[in-house]
Formats: sequence, C-alpha cells, structure tokens
Amino acid sequence: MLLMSALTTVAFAATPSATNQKIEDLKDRLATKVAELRQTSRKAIYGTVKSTSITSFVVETKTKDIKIEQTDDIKVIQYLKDKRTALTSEDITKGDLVSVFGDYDTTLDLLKATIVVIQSPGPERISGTVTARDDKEYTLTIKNPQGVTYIVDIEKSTKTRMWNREKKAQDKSGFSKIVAGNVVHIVGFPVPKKELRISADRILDLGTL
Amino acid sequence: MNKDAILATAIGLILGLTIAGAFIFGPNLIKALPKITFPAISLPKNTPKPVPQLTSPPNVFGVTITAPLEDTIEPKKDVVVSGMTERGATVVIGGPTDDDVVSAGENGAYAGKVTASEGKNDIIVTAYGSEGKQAQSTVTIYYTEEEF
Repeated sequence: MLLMSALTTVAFAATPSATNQKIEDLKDRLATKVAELRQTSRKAIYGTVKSTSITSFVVETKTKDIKIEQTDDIKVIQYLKDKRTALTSEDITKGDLVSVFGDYDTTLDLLKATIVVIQSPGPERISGTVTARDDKEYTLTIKNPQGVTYIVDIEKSTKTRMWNREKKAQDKSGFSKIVAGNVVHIVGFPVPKKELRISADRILDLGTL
Repeated sequence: MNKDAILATAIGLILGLTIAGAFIFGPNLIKALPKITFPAISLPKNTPKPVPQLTSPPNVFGVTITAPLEDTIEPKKDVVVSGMTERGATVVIGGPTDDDVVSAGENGAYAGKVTASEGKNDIIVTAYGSEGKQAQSTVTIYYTEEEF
C-alpha cells in the first residue's frame, strides 16, 4: 500500500515535461553505457613480449601484435620455483612469455593491462601405445597414433597413475606396472639435445583400450 | 404500315437470311478454319510419394568441446569440461596440472573436471572409441587468482 501510494504521489508530482526529460537522460546514459561496453571488453591474451617502453609493451600473439597499455594498478606475477611471486612492470622484458588480462579496446586495438602473468614454456603432452619398457634404463618407448616413436625417461619425481575402469577412478601406480600394449598419456619436458625424448613429469596409464 | 411493322419485317428478313446462309455456307467455312489443338493435360495419378532413403551417417569418430569456450577467462580454478563424442567412449581430459578420465553417456555426452593454473591453460580432450578409434580436441582458457 505504501509503495503504491508513493508511486502515485511521484506520478502525479512529476510533470509531463520533467518525465520526458528524465526518460531522455536515461536513454542517453544507456546509449553511452552500451557504446562503452561495445568498445571495451575483458580479455586475456598470450604471447611473447616483442618490445617494451615505460608505459606500454607489445605482445606478439599467434595471430597479431597487440599493444599493451600498463595501468597504474597493474599486477605482475611469476611463479619462481613453484612460489607465486609478485613483481613489477619493470620486470617484464623482451622475450618473456606472458598472459595479459585487461580491458580490450577494439577501436584502438589496445589492451589496458591490469594483470600480467610471466609464464615459463609449458610441458609437452604425448599419448600413444607402449611398445617397450626398459627396466635398466628406466625408459618407455611410446608410439603415437601418427606413428612417431618417443623415448620417455622415468624420473624419481615422475607421478604415475592408472585408470581403474571398474571403480571409475585413478589409482596410484608405478613404472613396473606399465606393460607393452597399454595406452598412456605422458606430460613432460623435452630432454635437451635429444630429439623425441621426454622426461616424464606425470603418466596416466589407461591400460588396453 | 407503321414504322414498327417495317422494322420487325426487316429484322426478321435479316435473321432469316443469316440462318439460311449459315446452313448453306457453314460447313465449308468450318472446314476452312485452322485446326485448334489443345495441349494434352495429364492429371496426376494416385502414385505413392517418393520416400527419402535414410542413410546412416558417415562413420566418423570425433570429439567436441562445448564448454568452456575458447579464450574465456575462467572465474574458478576448477574447470568443468564437457562435450560430445561416441556413446560409451573413454574420454581423457588433460589439464595443465592433472587429468580426468570419464566415460561418455548413452547420448555421447561427457563431462569432467581439471585444475587450471594461473595464466594460459591448454586443455586437451582425447576420446577412445570402439575398434581403436581415437580423436582429439583442444581448448585454451585463462585463469587468474587476482580479482578481475
């Protein structure tokens, strides 16, 4: 009742010209907001820092170079030895692999950065069938669906898990349980100076499919 | 003789002459006219409608990712990955720090969860179907712990 009475009072108090003016103002504000939303949008990009300056830097992505404008409250993060470390924009250097989060201005093709994550090159992922297991060298030979053969080094730190079809869960496993013919997914890092050789970080053994 | 009687007589004479002329010269005139032929119209018979032959879809094995969308910024570290593949296929969802293994349902839908790391994340989905069939699909997402 109170609400209805208040609404009635407002409706009668406002003159037609004042109401029209309010509607027009609201329309203008709405149009401005829509234009702003169209112009900028939240976006993240990934690439290599191509060049840097005091207030901006350029990131070379897969498709094009994007100019990054540094905002006053920019946060720069890097994981150093698995520890999340806060840095400053001065720590961004040419050649860094970065993920940049910010507001993207489509008209200016400019990303106003608020967060920059300096990343290290990610691990490689291979999958295929185990063709051999070397118990002396602690290696697995994997052939992927394209017919490429990889040698996988098993490290002390390598985590091995096996898919248990019945339980529909992953069980802890080990190198000795991986047998020829099993399908495996391996995540690891390339061994320097050795082609098609990977040092395994983790292994997922799916058994025979 | 009044005018009306003369007019009636004249009309009767004209009509009589016209009818007599039609009887005398009509047959010859009809023969002289060009023959008019109408196009043959064949009405549709009650034949059964052609039924489109249903062919089974090509036996192509594949896997799609319906969520998350490419290049999206995920609000949470735990990312639900879903899509479609062959019914009963074993699906491996590979994230940057862990993997999930799920089985596709009766309609071929699958869903699993991986943990995102800060920055760019490539999520690789591999489906294993019957008869050794295999398919792969990838999606890239972003995640940050910061308020954004």
